[in-house]
Amino acid sequence: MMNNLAFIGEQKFTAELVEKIRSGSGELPLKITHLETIEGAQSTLSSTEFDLVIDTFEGDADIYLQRILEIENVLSKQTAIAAYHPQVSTTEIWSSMKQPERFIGIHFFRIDQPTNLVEIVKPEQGDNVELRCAISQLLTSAGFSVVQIKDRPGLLAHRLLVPYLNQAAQVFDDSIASAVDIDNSVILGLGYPAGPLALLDRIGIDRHLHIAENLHRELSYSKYHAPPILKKMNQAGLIGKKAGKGFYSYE
Amino acid sequence: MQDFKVGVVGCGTMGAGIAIVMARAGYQTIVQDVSEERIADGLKRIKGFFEGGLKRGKLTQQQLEENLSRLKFTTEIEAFKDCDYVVEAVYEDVAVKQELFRKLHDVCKPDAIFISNTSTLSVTAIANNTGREDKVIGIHFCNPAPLMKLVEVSKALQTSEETYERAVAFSESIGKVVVTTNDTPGFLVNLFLVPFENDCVRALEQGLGTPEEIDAVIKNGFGYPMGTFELLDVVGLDIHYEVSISLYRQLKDERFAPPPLITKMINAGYLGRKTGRGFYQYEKAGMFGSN
Repeated sequence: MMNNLAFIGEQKFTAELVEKIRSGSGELPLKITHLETIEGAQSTLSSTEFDLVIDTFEGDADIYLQRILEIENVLSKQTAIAAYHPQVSTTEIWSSMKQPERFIGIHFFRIDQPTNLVEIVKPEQGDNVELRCAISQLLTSAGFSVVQIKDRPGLLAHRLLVPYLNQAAQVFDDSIASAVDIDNSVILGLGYPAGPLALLDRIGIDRHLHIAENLHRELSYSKYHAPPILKKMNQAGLIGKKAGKGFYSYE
Repeated sequence: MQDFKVGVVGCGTMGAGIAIVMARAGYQTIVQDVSEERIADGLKRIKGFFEGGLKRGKLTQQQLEENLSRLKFTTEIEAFKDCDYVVEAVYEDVAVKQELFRKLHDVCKPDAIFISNTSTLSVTAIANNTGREDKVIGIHFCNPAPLMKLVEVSKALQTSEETYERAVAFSESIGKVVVTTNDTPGFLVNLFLVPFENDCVRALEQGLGTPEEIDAVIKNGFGYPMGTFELLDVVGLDIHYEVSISLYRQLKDERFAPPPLITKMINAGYLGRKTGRGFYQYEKAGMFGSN
């Protein structure tokens, strides 16, 4: 089984993910290296026989693609590469790489902190079954729930979550109910751990807009279109928890 | 706690649950249904709930007896004459509910408030021509009423502010947490749940995942207590269809249209747990949690 992994990324989320895998993998002989940037880690990346390198970059789409190709050149040919970007599909990455079967689209789904859900993407061109199963097994052993999805925009999690969050923001903007009542209705009525407006604050309204706009561009259904109130809140800097204010105020 | 008298019309699943809530809160409660058989079924359900609670140490034998003693059962509408609050949990049809409230208006005290437990119908429509439109309000209980803390209070166009305030205070006195809407279709819970469930069914139709995989996304990614397909099997696909189509007709929002797969499964008799098969298969047909 795979046991030598590297994560590349300077976001808080990357460190949290590394910690989650370390604590979830318990007795497994798993070695995880956390590298902040590619530039700072060139020699490590080229000299170490990692089984898998995961790049957690989700910023500019062109930079994301460049990074994958750069990593492909630097790494030993045995090393697999994993990454995910809402705007650049696994199918597209496969068509750009010299050795596409080394690449696997892996989405570590998060609200703000990582969850137990991992989505693994099956690109249109084919299926690197062995690699996919090895990674799936590793992540399952580390406590994740792994689902395989065909390569479609939003995969499953964002595909299902975005219309519901968009709807909740519109319901609030329509003054159908207060923010507290909107969130309480699903917490107390359905047992959800948090309400949709609190979730938007935690995801970050700017990040939600990024995900929703991409989904709407690719799929065209109006349910993916983020309602005007979210754009206004973004313009006003009221993007949620990290700004101290969104639908709610935070200390 | 005030000495209110409460009436519950209908002792099916929701009516029996609401009666339990009232008795547990300490109110003298009159429960009415159309036949002795329905009353007997309702009473059995209520006794079963309290006896289950006794076994699990949730209440004492004395509390069980006190709760049951607060409940009186009858087939007569006239029994509601001294009630301060009457809650209806009858057949989900505007004309049926309006007719009931008209009859109750002749029977009940002038300041008695009439409460509809409707989940998809307009409280404004139900209130119309009942004779005391300003005293009609929606209080939608969740299922099962004795366990779910939430009620959705809906002010109809005709509802007075005083009625609303009394309804909120009454809801809080029976241990519920109130959310408030102005009689908009689906209120809040169904407004969010139904289209989300439909989106999950569409994802299944589109081959994005199996029921198990989609439910895994929902439970592990979103932290919901049940997967969508597990929940649909519990609710019943026929019930989901009725709620969904009712909201679609009122809102004309395509997310509320029940996807074709739901109709296909209903046509095949795959209604969920009650028929032993829905999105999942079950060893034997039966209601979730039934003995």
